[in-house]
Amino acid sequence: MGFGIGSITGAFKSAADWVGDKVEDGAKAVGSAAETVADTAVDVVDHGAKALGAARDFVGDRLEDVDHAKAWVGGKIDGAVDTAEKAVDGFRENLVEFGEEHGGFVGKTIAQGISNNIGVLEGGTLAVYDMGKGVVQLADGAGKLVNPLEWAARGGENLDRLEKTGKAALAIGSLASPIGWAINGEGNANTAKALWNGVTEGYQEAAKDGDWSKFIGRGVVDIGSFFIGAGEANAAIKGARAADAVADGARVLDAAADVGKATRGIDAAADAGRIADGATAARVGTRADKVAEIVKNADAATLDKIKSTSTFVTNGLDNAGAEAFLKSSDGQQMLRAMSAADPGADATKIYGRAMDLLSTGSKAPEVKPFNDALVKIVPQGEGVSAYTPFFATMDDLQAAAKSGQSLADAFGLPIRSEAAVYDIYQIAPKGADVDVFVQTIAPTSELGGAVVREGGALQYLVLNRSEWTDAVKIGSIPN
Amino acid sequence: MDKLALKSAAEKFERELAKIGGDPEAVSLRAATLPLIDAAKAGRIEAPLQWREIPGARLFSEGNLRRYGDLEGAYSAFRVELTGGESDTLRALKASMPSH
Repeated sequence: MGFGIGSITGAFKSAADWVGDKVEDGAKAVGSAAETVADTAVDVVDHGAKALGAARDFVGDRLEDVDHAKAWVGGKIDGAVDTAEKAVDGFRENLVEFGEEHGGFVGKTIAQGISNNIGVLEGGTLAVYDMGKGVVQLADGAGKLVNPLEWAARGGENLDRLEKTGKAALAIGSLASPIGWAINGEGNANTAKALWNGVTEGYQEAAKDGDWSKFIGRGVVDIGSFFIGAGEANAAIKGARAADAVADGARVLDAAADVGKATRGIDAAADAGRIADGATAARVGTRADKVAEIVKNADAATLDKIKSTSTFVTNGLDNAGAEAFLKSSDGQQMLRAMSAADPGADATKIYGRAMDLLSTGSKAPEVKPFNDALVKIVPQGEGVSAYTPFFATMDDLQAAAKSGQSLADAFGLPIRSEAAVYDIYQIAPKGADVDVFVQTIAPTSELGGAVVREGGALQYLVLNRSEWTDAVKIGSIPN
Repeated sequence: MDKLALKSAAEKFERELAKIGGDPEAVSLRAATLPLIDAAKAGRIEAPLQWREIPGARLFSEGNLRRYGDLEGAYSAFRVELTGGESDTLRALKASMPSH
């Protein structure tokens, strides 16, 4: 696996420099002008809400007439969006001219920022349109579970579907708050895009047109509905009636408007990567801030140490503890399993690999028969090593995400493996029960103790990857 | 500590690293372990290290260095010597795997 030290540095520098300067000061400066603009834009978006509400009713009344629904939904929303887009684009141009005339702080730059935020909301309208079209284009699976229209039309069926893909739905629901989604547009939009093919075309068109504010806006609405859908999925798990819990189109748009308010003042023309970096760094708290500061101020020698992990120490079992385990029946089973997984490896290699694993756990591992999927996080854009034995359950990953620790802290990662956003990969046993070795991740330290990770999450050691399916990406999660 | 065995293991490990050349992960491994290699060659390591203190393992598990079998073997052998030589477990394992 490659590691992106450059992205780490960029992420943390962005947090301090960009979010601090732009969001806080920018948001305050925009003030009431932005509110006015937002209200206007929301009014425009309401056109889409009405169309969407009608679409929902129509779909609800004609559950079996999918082809008819597709044509009707597309036609209704198409007209509303076309009108809305033209009106808003004109207002955006006028606003920039107004800003130029007044100059100063509330000048062209700010006006352009407001205009871009309108673009966010306008893009939101377009995304609703895409969603309306996409609802009848979705394939079976988790995508349907996060689509409010789909819930409205087929609540009972989705409740059943939820039980089958519940973990995926929960993973989606835990990705972030709506505000987090908004300012983490790029990474989460990628997830939405992957799961929700019905809106892919819209993203591509917005990007092709070069109007990045609209592009981000699409993410806002996708994300808003995504979030509501997953939230309702959780409610359904708790026993609520799916039909009652369905989010209608207006709620989707409300979510988009709220998120738009939260992002007001952000220079939406800024690149999405910086947005994502800032959002993540803001979430990980003081511990990550400390890491960020270290990385930000690192000289070349320190960066080399981070890159090579030369100072990364896992405070797991010591030599005596590891030896004691390896002499036990479970330890002998571990050695046999590792040898069976790689018959060509000699004793020294097998021993070394075993000692490496034991060095990462705070206690000796326990053997468990296992027949469920496991997941692994890797920095976004990087794949899973074919050799890694380190995995976790989705439940444990979610618990770590909610623990108040960053994922890097919970899983004891070295600085070079810390990322703003992680991709989640999943493997599943090919057969029935497979033995895994479960242990608590030990604390780690780096740069002579300047960076300390608490560890504490559970890791599931997969000793024979050939017994498991290939790792498949199933989503993303912020640090 | 068997300083001669340690020195020999360090030299072999260093040779294997040199064979890999420009692989970025091998470069990182070399950077991470060079101080230990130099100390081992110079006979300056007086007491066994803890296995967990020796850097570089993640480059094999989370990276792709395991594809270099000879490098992994030399790295493991070097670490065995750094941690005080063959343990009972390793000796037993070797005995149970006579083909290697």
